[in-house]
Amino acid sequence: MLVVKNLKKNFGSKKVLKGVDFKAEKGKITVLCGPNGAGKTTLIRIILKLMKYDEGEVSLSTDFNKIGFIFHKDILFSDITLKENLLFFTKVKRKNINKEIFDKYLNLFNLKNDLNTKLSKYSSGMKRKAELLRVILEEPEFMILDEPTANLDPLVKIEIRELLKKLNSEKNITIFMTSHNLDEVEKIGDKILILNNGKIAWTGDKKILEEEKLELEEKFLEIVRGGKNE
Amino acid sequence: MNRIKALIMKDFFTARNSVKSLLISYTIFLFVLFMMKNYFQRLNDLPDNILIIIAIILFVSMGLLFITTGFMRYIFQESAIGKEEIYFAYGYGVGELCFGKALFFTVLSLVIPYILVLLFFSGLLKTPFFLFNILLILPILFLLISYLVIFLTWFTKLGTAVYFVMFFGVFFLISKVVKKIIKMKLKMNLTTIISIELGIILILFIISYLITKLIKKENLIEKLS
Repeated sequence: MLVVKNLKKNFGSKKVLKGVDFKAEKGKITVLCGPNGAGKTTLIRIILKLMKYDEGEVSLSTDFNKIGFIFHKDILFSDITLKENLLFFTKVKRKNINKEIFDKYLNLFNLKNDLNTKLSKYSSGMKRKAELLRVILEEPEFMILDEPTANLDPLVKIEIRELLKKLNSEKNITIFMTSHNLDEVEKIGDKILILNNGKIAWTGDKKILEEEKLELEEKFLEIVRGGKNE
Repeated sequence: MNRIKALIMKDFFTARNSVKSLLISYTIFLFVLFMMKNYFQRLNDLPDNILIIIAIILFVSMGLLFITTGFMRYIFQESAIGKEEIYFAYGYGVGELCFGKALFFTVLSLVIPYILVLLFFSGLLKTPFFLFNILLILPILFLLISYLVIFLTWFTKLGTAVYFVMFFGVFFLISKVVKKIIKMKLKMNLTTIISIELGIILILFIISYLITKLIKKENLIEKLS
């Protein structure tokens, strides 16, 4: 489980996170959305211990080696092949490539014929699938994904969304992800967080939205345009 | 250690995939050396002159620097797209990252100087001082210089400027020293020379150690992003 309490982060005089509080429960998909510059990537960097924070608390019950992550930018190296990339990343995590999982997802992602192709020759969609393959091969218990479907065509977006749901339900992988796509957030998230003005402005789920007879988009606009915080 | 091994493996894949440009650098360098064959053979006849040996070692180092120019391309690329964040996220520390890369550079760059030694200075292979320099001093010195250059190029945002100043600065210094040694035929004893060499290594080691200790990766991410 991931618990973030009263998290504050400033960049000079600019207050990016002004006291973020939330929980990402085990076995659930928690999706964080918010406008550009809301601090989503900063939050992910802090959770992954890549950045210091000024105040608050971040606790992650999963062993750091069992966390798989995707950044907004590509992690895989473009000047080597997919196979070489996967060898490197699994070796760093002190794992051997699980042949069964490897074959299954390589076929599912339709990357078998491109295994020995340099990543620089991949399309954006192929690169995102390759990133997911990397994470899956690391056999994580917790996935932290920063906009995993950004800049992808609708078909690939749907494929990745379905896959994430499957991984969550079949392998009980906890997922914490950010997304700009509100439709996606609503479809995939067991728990939805809206980050605005450096704070979690709304926490809810599909059920709450149904009770309030609101679409997520309406809620999002109400918060972002109104500058509301919880 | 596991992470350093993985890093070297990854860089090896990168080098292998860019084998054409690597072969071009190697070929140019070997061609230049072949053209200077007579000059080297003349030096080969002077196995007892320590300073001549030093001159040879320094000349070999220039080859090493030349070859390394090709490798620095990877550092520029990875630095430009902010790949340090990925390495850090996978648990690499600043020192580990620079050391891994420097070790890879050193191993691959030394291939040519070692071929050169076998080709032109085979007579000197019987000289313990020459072997000591080629097998120990040169790799350590090169490792430390590479470490510093990689660190400064990657993490100071000065990028190519640092690289050119550091590498070509060293290149220039070496050429000057070689010329002086050959011209003046300075007399120095073995102990003094080895002390100077070890002193240089110690100073470079302390600088590298302090830089790594003082700079934390969390601060670098904030600074570079």
